[in-house]
Amino acid sequence: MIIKNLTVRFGAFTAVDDVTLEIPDGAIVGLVGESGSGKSTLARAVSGLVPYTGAVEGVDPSRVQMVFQDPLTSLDPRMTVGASVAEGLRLPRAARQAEVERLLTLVSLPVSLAERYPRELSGGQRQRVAIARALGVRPALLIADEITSALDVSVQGAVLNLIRSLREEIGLSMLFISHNLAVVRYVSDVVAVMHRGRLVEMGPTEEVVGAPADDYTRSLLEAVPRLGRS
Amino acid sequence: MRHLPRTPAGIAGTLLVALMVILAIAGPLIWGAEAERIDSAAILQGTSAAHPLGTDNLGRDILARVLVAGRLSLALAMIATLIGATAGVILGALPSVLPRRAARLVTGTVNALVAFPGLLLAMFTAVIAGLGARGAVLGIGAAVAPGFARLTQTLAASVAGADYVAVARMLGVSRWRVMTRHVLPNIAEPLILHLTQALGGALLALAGMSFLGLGVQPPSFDWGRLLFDGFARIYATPAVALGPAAAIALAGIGFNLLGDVLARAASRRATPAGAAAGRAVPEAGELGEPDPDAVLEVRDLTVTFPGGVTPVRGLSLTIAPGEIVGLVGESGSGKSLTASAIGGLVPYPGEVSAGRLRLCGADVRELPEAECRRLLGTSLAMVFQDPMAALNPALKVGGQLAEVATVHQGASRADAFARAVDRLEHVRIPEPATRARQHPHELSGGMRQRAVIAMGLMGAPRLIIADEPTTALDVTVQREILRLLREVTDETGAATLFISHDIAVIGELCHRVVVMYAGRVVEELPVEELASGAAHPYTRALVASLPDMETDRSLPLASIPGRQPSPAEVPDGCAFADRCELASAKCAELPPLIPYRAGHRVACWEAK
Ligand SMILES: Nc1ncnc2c1ncn2[C@@H]1O[C@H](COP(=O)(O)OP(=O)(O)OP(=O)(O)O)[C@@H](O)[C@H]1O
Ligand code: SF4
Ligand SMILES: [Mg+2]
Repeated sequence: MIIKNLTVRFGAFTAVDDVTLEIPDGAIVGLVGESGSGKSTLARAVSGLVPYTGAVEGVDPSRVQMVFQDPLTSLDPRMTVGASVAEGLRLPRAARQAEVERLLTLVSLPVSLAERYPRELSGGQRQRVAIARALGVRPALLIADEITSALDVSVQGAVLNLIRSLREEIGLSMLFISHNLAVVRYVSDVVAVMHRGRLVEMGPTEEVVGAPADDYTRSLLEAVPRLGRS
Repeated sequence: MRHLPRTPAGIAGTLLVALMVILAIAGPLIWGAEAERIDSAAILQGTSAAHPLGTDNLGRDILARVLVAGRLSLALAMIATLIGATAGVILGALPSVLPRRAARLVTGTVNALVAFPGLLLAMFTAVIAGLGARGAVLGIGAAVAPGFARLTQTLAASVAGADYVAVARMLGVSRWRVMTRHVLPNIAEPLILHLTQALGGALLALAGMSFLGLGVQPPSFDWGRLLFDGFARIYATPAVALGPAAAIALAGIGFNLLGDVLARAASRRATPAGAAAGRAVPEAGELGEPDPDAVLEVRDLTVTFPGGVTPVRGLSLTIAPGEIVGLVGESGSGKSLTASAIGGLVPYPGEVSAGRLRLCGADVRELPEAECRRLLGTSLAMVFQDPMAALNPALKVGGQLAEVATVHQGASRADAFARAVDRLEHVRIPEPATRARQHPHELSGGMRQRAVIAMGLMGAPRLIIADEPTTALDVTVQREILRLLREVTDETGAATLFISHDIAVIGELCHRVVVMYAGRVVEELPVEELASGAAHPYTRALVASLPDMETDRSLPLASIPGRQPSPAEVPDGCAFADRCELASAKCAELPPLIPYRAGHRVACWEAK
């Protein structure tokens, strides 16, 4: 699929400025940039949550799903995990239970979790529930917006591993948004860098990280904190 | 809502409402006959032993009538409120379900109605609907509805912005279902609170309508009607009017108090008590002599909440001048509460106890209150994750900084302002004099965080506590703030306690790292050993699961299965045991935090 000349304006302010970005089938495209650079707005536009000009081609808008930063606020606190996952399924009632179980297993969660409420789960488990729910509608594109930012490092690894295994096992195409370059580098095939609403650089991960062409990309790489560098 | 606070207002409100409910149920059963008994021998009497509140024009006992009228008064108020609430909630919910045009029309109507005086609306409706109880109830219902509609709209709008509503929309769930399934259940609590308060209002308003002759008509009677009947005689025999008036007042006050208390109980989560007073627990003898050079010395700090919730368990920490100590641990491990306890900010009903809590050489719990506040106000600077929480959005930045100097240092306003501008410049905010005259929202996130740091620098801080100060900022800004913190520590010789769940940031900024797990310190080590010299299995797993710019992309990342026990169910032994690969039977006993190497301590039976 391809995003062509996509622009989002809020009044006089241009949040996303003429962005063209290709997401090859079955690839994970990482999108980095500072807060306010327009990453989330781009994601919301592609998901159809904000109006835009330009085009999103090669994908049925109803088959784009999004997973958000904070799994606690993206799951209804009053619905069980099973009910949340079942909500988007377009299946006869009888088939739902089995599908919910399949989805939970797909994201490596025990089926028994279906009876529980979001507050009874760890952050990483909640985030996997949110992913399972999004996978329920068999999306052609999954947009992951800072899905590990609210997680502890100790569980972040499990979610990142899941993302990579989903690409390998079901060939899911993904737009993976994060401000954490190390995380983006780990999961993505292609990295795109956004700055002030514009796309300033894009290329295969190793190239962008190893030999950045743009000044802003370089400053981002510079700023990545490294253990014990002092 | 589950636990009502035992305040005098809460108790009074609950009692009054209970009394009214009992009266409404039992009143007519007990005094019903007496209230209707006509006695031509005792017409229009004043107070007497037989008739404490006198009698009316048919010789009926007014006290009995007041006691009986409670049922009708309360029932009518209840019906009116329910009518108003139902209409209001529907009106308020409609805009979220209707197409845009129609939604705007409904919103506009509600806004117009809210601006319209309630009593006029009630009387207008009552006159149209016809004189009598039905008209009055409909009238009050109409007066109550716009308030509910507005509240529903506001609440629904805030919930509609929640991610889970966006998700449901993306999944293709219908608007109506989103409303009934996701929005209404999540706003029910405040609506119910409003209902209680509206009930008190409806009671008063109905009495008012009856008093004006627009409400209940004879032979029925409610409190308002009794007041109307008695009012003509108020100069001759005041008691006849006082009875119903008192009943109305008590019921109104009761419902309003209860509503207030319920509302406060629901929003109680964030009331700082300021004085969750600390208690010294173990005798000073076992603690050894206090460290004279330490800026901060904490021994056996414990924070508990009712219900056996103990998020911080016997934590000890010492920080020397000029030292930056990183406190790392997963969400809920008690990092922020540790910081709050040091600053005396643990919210009610939390309890803090410690063997020692010394700041700048004085135990903060032994100082007189005024002196303690001065010490904390000038020597301790706190920087939090959300700079907006530390800045008052209504005040200009410069004024807020200057306040620190006028309050704690007795500086004149002009001097204080000049110092504020100087401090803003010091943290490298461009055009500090202009920025000082702006409101917090006019500054970017990074600039606001700088302003908060500048606020800490208004005094001469000896200890800076920074709780996730960069988590809300992006990497480039984060780097600048970290550099600023380090410079400030270097030049003031202050000590810094830097709290973060991001072990990479800690590794970059700090001299020494303290790792917390489930309320306890599990390891304390020099930063140089963090990457490859950590001894505790938890610390090692944290380091291993962190992807960096060199991580091998072909291998899966390490992660720790399971989750940290909640602060109410921390086991007696090692809290990490059920996630630990090395755990053995021995780990059912709590491993002490003991020296491992120079400047390195660890709490694990397997660390040799
Ligand atoms: N007012 C309170 N009443 C009851 N429990 C509380 C209260 N405040 C905090 N807690 C509990 O104490 C524990 C520690 O909370 P704390 O905020 O110190 O964690 P933290 O380590 O700062 O986590 P994070 O990284 O998410 O900021 C949590 O489990 C929390 O639920
Ligand atoms: S004490 Fe036992 S359970 Fe705890 S970390 Fe050490 S080996 Fe693991
Ligand atoms: Mg915290």
